[in-house]
Amino acid sequence: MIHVGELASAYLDGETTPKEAARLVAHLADCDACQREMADLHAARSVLRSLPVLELPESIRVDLGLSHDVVPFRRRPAAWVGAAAAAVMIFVAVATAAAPDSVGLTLVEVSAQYEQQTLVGGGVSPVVGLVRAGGGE
Amino acid sequence: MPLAWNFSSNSGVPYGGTEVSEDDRLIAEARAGHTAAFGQLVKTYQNRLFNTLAHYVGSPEEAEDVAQEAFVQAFVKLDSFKGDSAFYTWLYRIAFNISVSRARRRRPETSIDRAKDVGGKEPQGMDESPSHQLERKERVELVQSALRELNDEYRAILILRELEGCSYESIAEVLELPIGTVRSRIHRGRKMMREALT
Repeated sequence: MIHVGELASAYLDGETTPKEAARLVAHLADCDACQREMADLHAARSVLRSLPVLELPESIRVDLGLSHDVVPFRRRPAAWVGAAAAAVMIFVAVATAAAPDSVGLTLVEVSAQYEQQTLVGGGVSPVVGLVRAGGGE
Repeated sequence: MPLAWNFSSNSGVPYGGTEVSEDDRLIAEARAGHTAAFGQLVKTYQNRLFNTLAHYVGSPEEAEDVAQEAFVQAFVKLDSFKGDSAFYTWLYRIAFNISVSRARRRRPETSIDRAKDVGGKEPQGMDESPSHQLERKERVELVQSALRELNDEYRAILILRELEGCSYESIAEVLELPIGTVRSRIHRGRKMMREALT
């Protein structure tokens, strides 16, 4: 007898074709081992789905002192990426608050700046340039 | 408990539904230079991305860093987004690639003990007794620990499937895998979880 194997998981997820589903149901009717496996798979699925939804810690938003909605992340001084991200979030927040429909730079220009600074400046944050340019320098 | 993020009930429906067109509009505006539109995308997806990453990497701090980097990369590369997949799928692909890359760099530090670090702000039951809270906390830690012990390839797929509710097709897009591989890894991943928890 050929057991259902991974077809069982696909069936639980509604990812089988009608033909596969019919084959599985017919097999399950006569196979205790596959019935047990099905129950085990269902249990594993349920236990994962019971994991809590994690929200961004409130302290992260408070630490920034910036827009609660748009700027979720804190600055990480040791990582240029963190600084870059904070910078872009700040820029986005400022742009959101101050001039939602009129920002001087296009993303093409931002990308160009990023590529240029990556080539020339090594580890310089790409978005620092963005903030400066957006700040009217 | 229902799916952590049920697409049908979330405002940012990434795979089908009307919200995808809202993403398209925001992306078009961001490309046209309206950076605030990108801020709206961040606002829409930041919590969901954080939740998934926190479970995947096992640390809220690492999840935070990866999410930051993912949003920066998405912003910078927005012009290269073809629209073949949903924005959220594309964002997830970026985030998972960053996670993998960072994990490779710091592999020696990785430990299953980090499973206990997964935190963030977890919703609490208002009428739950302290003993039940403790019991639930221990149960969650057990599951998180088992999840952390899985290989990355299984953990990523299970999280996308069980916590995000992604279809097999969407998972295949995010992780750039054949759909048959997704199917077999979901099955094997569930079996491994079951074995670890019994």
